[in-house]
Amino acid sequence: MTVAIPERIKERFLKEILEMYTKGEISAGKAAEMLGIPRAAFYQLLAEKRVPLPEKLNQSILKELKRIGTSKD
Amino acid sequence: MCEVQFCSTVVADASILIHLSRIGRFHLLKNVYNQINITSSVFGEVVEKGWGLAGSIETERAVHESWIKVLDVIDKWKAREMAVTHGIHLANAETVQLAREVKASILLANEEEVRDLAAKFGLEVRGCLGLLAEAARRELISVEEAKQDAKRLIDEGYRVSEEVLKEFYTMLGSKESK
Repeated sequence: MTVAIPERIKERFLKEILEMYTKGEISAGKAAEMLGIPRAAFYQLLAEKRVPLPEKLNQSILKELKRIGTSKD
Repeated sequence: MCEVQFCSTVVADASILIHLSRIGRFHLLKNVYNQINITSSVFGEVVEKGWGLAGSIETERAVHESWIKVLDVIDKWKAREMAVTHGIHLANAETVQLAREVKASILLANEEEVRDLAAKFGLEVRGCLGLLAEAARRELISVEEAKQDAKRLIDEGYRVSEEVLKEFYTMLGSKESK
């Protein structure tokens, strides 16, 4: 049996998932899985909706850049 | 004989393959690291589930050309245990477990939970910007190109904060003057 899910519920669901992702509550892999789409399609969505990276990830990248900035040469 | 990283063992997660492909820089993986290892789950995610999307064709071709190797995690039980203990996605736990099994010196990952867990095991983690910085350092791309690539990453969904972008620019700038 297939159940047709109304558009507005789908949109609401998508909004919630993107919010959970950007708050760092779920990973991109998990988010893609929950939406039932491939990972690359999820990144496409992030691009279209201009979703920022989770703050924790930003901090992690900042740390990485600072570390490699001081360790080389 | 060769630069340390050139000979080192590198493991990558799905996000790196996809993001680099989205900005047309997939080949940097080969230019910088020569050889990359991925888990079969990552191959499944990028190539099989994501067929026709960013990274799928590039990854399949790289596997065919054998500069990307698809490896099975030996201790699957351990990966499952890590996934449960740390509350992370199984595919991500497998990537970290593979990095440990092949004694990787670098783990390429953009997913926070992969990076976080990898750091706990003392693995060196690099994301897209770290890779671009390394490519610029080795003059595989110019500093200007690295900056353009960072902007494109942002447009293509890897939306880092202003603070991160500024740090990246500063870092490239200091390399340029050396």
